[in-house]
Amino acid sequence: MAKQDSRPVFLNLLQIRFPVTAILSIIHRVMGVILVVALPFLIYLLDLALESEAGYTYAKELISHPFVLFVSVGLVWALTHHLFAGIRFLLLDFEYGVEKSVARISAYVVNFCAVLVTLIYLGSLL
Amino acid sequence: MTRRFQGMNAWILQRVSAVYLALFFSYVIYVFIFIPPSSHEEFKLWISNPVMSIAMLLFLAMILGHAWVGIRDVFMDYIPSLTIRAIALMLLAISLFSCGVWVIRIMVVAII
Repeated sequence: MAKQDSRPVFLNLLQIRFPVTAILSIIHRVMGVILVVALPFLIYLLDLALESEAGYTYAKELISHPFVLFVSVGLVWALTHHLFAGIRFLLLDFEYGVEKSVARISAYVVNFCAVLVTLIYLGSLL
Repeated sequence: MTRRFQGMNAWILQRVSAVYLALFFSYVIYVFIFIPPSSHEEFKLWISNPVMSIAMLLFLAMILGHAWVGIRDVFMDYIPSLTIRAIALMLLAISLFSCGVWVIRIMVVAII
């Protein structure tokens, strides 16, 4: 970055076509950030639930509030996607499934399974 | 580590913590689905059990380390200004440290 770079830059995100592996990668990153942001709220729930009988009851009430349930669906998706994609990345580190065709299939599987688990969770709420 | 492998510690920390987090989350999810604690007393007993307490504190260290490396990577990728990046990293460190102190306090209160 020392010299002025005159090479053309094309960064129109709406026009770049992303392969499924790139989509998995960006979702993995976004979900990681979401999970970190959620951390204080989860610690708050833990604090309530352990603090006293009344706190426990209040925490239970909180997590059955419709808005919190709605958020929890997002968090379940975030956690399952981050977990499944993370396992895939670890396998790639050990050079399992590095071939392009296999990596594409595993990316589809991860994206699909995370949504599937989230839908099962959503179903359990209804 | 020598200067040639500066990112190596972070890289290893991210992987090792990832494995622990995956195992710990699997266990917690298993408990909450199949044998959920049904009262405040039961929940507290489960968490303050010595083995679980140690697993929780290790989990705390692992998740904070994992969050640090992950968010640090995000900042390094998207914040080109070194000054702003340093400020962002400092705020991140303060936030994660606070979360750590908070959970340790929760655990100490639960155990005693």
